[in-house]
Amino acid sequence: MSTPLLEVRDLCVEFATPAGALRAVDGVSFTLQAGETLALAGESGCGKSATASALLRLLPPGGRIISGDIRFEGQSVLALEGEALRAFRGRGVGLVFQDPVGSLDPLMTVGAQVEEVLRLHRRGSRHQTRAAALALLARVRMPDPAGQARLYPHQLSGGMCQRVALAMALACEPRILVADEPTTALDVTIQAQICALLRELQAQTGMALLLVSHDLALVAGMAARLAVLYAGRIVESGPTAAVLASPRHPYTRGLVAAMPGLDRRPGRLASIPGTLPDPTRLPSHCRFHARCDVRIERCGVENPPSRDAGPDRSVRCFVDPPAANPTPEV
Amino acid sequence: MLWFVVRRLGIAVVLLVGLLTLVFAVLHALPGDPAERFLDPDADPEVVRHARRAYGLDAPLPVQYGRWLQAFLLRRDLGHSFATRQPVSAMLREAVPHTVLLAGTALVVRLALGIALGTWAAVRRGRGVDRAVLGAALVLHSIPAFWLGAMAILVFALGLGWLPVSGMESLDHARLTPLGRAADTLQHLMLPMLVLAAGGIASTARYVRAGVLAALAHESVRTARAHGIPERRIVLRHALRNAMVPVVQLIGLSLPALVGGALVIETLFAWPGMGRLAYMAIGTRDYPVLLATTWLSGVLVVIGSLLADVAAAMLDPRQQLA
Amino acid sequence: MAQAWTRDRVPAAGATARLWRLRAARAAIAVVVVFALIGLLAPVLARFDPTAIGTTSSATAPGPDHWFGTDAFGRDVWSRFVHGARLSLVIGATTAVLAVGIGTAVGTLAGFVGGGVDAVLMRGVDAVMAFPRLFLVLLVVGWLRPSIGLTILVLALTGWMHTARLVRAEVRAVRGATYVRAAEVLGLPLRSILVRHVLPNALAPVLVSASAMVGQTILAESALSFLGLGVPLPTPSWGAMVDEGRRAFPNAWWVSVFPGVAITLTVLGWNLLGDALHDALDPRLAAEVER
Repeated sequence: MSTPLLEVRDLCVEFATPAGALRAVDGVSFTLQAGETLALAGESGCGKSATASALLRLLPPGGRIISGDIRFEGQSVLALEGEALRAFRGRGVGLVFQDPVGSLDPLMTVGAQVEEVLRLHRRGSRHQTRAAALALLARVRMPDPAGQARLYPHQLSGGMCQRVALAMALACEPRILVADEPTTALDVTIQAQICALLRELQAQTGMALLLVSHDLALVAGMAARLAVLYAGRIVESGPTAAVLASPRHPYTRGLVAAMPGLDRRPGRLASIPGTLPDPTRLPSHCRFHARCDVRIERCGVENPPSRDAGPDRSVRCFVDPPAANPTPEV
Repeated sequence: MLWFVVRRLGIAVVLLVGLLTLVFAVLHALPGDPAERFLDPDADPEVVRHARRAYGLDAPLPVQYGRWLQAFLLRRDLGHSFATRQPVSAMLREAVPHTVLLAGTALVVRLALGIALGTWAAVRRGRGVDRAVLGAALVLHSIPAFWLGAMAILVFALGLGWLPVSGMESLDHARLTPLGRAADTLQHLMLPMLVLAAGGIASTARYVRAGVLAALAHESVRTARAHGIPERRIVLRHALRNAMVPVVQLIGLSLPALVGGALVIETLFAWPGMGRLAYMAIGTRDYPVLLATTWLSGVLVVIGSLLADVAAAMLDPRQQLA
Repeated sequence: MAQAWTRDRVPAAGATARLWRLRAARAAIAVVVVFALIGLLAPVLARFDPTAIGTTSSATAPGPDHWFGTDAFGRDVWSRFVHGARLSLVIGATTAVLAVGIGTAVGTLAGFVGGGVDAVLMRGVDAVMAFPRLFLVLLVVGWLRPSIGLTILVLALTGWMHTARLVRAEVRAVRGATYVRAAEVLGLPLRSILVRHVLPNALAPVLVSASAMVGQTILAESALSFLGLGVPLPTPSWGAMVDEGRRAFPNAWWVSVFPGVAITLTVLGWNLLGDALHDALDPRLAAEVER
């Protein structure tokens, strides 16, 4: 097996809060090969955004990577400083955020912002940079690149701004694109367009895509592999189709069951009872224990390790779901 | 953009008329007969009656108001000084540029130092520099300008002899070369200008600090960092620019205090500007001068605010929607 | 290098910043109280008649006989100082109460009634605020004879605008709130809505602005006295003392120093008090401020 493009091992991220240290990411490990799409899924507060931010060493103030390793093309990201870190950002890994309008500078035209990023990563005259910027905007399928490049973010719709953000990320020609809830703030129809665009760009550039989302339907359509996070840990991972078709972890099962589908009979939506554990006081036993419907005694005592559950699948649970348990159709 | 400027100009003109109306209203609302005030208190009542007719003070109020507006705005006739018999507009034409020089340079210094210190404090948040800047801001905000000026004169002019004590020019100013004249004026400008700027530097720094911190917390900064843009460029090009918009608007809001402060400084340093003119007019009960300078002080503020608003709109196109 | 450019050190859970603020607030209250006491107890604290012109000494340096020295007329500076504190206290407090009262009334009216009344009132506020306060005050004081009452009146009439704007903003915010509309629909009398819902919300900014206003008033009054347009002589006033002192420069420099320092400390105290009140009354903002 070739060296994975990105390798994350036992990543732990903590935030300092008035209530104490908050461990947002607790021992997350995954790999990403060149060109593949991996989705990190989970509800709000599960640590997926913190993981994505940590990859670029861009944690919000108060956040720290306290242990673990992140390796990009074999090199440790955590050891990078100064110039090397800057070069890694944007060249190695690119990032697209959830709020498209808010992630752009309100006082600069979108064209100027794309040019700014281009100028950092490529040499060229003013003229060449401008042409390259327009080409990028065309590539992200903006209807009128020349005209829209002169506009300010507040004059464009959310979908257009997200395209601009994509253009800026692409300007760096990254090997991996991290998309943190890229479509959450957009309408459903625009969501579909942006997803199609992402797939197209991926095919063109061969870059890997790390998709962070709480939307399982989106994930199903975009990602080849899926890792489900809960309370800072990966509780299940594997090929998306397999995981969603026959989830092994009770949490994943709950998530899949909770998805409303057009082909199901109308009735009460299934939900997972209970709430996330207090992140400042995590239990030393299984974190899903309080909400789990198949728990055994052992679950209340120890923390289950991640174990193999089939080809290229892993699950973090002591209980192997019996075949009699009905699994919902997806 | 053009439409925005036109609109703001219109508002400014309306405001100028409003200011004039206000001055007129204040004057006539106060107890006391304008005629008696305008003249020698011991004058013969017959003379007073005569003067009243001559000055048009016996006409009904609306007529007086109309005449006033006409005189001030259309003919630019601001009356004649009681003390010197000169036309007031001529006196002001000489004095106002001096005030603009003093207040203008103070404003520039205030901005330059305020922006530099505020940005520095923002990027070194929580550390010594930050605390020092915030502390200095509080103290400078509380020091009376006239006292600071008096102490400055005591120490720097009288004590150390580095700078002149007062005035705008030395006695032999006219005999100096053009360069010498400029240097002489600059020397005299130093102390009053720095004292006038002092209080404002600190509060500007505080505002800039807040603005830069807010800008740095904006999502777009994270995006820029994610793309590998150097931190220095982020602070100077993105954060500072965004922080500048409220600061430019602050300029407009701080103008009344600046012009008012100039009055005190001019009096203290005998700087021949509009403020000093107003002060001396009180001593001689020279009401035409007093009225004109009061109104003009408001005019300066309105013009300054207009310029600040236009500058803000140039920086941030979203302002034009306001 | 690149990371080092922005070294953002967030204090551990904001504790250190909060402590500093608390300490500053305590110091502020101490300063305010000390000067208020000095002012209140002036007749007791003064060792000589503040207006008595000395027979022998003229302008002596601070010493055991005259703690703050004497001025060019031989008057005891300490006695004049404490009476000046009293004057500042009286003018500062009275003006602040008056200005805040006017401002609250105007602001409530504008915010509550809205529409044309609001527009006219706010344009008026804008117009008055366009004038540098000192010029306006000069106009009035130059026209009439200076006195304590006039000083207070004029300062109050030129200082209410800021409060009016603050109160108007608060009142407007509350006015549009659902529970106020509900009260109206239920037929509750306007007066009771105002008193029970609107005004209590406006209380916080009013208190903060009142505190800051005392400081500003003291600065304005001392500037007036410095120019000779404040309280008429020979009533001692800090601003006038600074003026007297500077006319005798470089001799008798102490006559200027003490009142100037006092003004600075008093105003600083009131400003800090305003800040502390601001943080205390609105915990949301306090958290933001610490970040």
